[in-house]
Amino acid sequence: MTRVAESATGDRLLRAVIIDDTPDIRDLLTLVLETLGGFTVVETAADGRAGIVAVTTHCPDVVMLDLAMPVMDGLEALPAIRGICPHAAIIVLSGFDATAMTASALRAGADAYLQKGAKPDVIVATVREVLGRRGRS
Amino acid sequence: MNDVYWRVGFVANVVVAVAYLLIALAIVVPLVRSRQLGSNRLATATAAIFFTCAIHHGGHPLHMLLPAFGAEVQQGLAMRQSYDLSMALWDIVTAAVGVYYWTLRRAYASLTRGAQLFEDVRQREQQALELNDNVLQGLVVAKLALELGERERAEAALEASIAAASTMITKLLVDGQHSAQAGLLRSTPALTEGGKT
Repeated sequence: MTRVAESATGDRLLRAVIIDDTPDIRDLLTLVLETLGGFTVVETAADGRAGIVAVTTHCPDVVMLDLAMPVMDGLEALPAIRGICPHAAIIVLSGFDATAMTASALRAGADAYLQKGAKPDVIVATVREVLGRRGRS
Repeated sequence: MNDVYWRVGFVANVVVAVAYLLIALAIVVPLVRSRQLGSNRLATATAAIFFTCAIHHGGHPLHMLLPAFGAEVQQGLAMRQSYDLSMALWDIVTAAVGVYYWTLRRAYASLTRGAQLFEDVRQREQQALELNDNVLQGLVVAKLALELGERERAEAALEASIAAASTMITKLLVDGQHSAQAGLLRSTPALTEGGKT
């Protein structure tokens, strides 16, 4: 479902898509991004393939992407997501140790890697830092 | 008497070569089918050892046979001459071990059936990874929920993680067929609070 949102001042809110197979994590990340970050989560997806469809539909500003998922994993979905939406800030948020997976994620097209368990303010700060690098904050 | 020794050695080495070659094939074929020839290096190396031993043992009877066809007469006859009682006995023992191995494989057919042996290992690794990931995701949800003030969701996630971890270690204990003593005796105390026991 597509949602177009604006802030109280009329500015267009930055739009995010969350791709994670754990429903609670999708809910909580939505809470983090919308409440603390001021983003609007336009769609969530439970696997890489559904995530590609969501990104194709919305071409969001931010994509939060898990790695280990059914149907299609995050590393497989990443190049397609980057190709569909070249200007999106793609942040991989995974349970795997950052030292082991960061290089693979960045090579596949991610902008940043966050290990699951990061505090909400760190998640928001990382997203904003990547958006700043891309000139979209 | 020397004729008897080399003939015994001839037959025993043929048996050893066939047994070892079949063992190498029994390892390689499932590895190829499960696409683990490159990744499961220990199994591949084991197969290589059996293959090279099969060639080595197969070479002995070949050398002993060639003089009968007028080829490599000098070397072949020298090998026949070199055979004595101890060499013949060791070849019989080696052949007996090879034959015994194949009788065991038949007895444990369900455990060693083709690709299933290696495929099962891969499936179990995948299951273990997913079970561990379930526990991790539950803990991540609990931490994030606590930080966002969602206490009930955090408690539910913790309970799910504890149940998943309990199922996992119980399954490991039962599947490993440990005796109660061996399975419950830890090598080090359990760690909590960032390394404090």
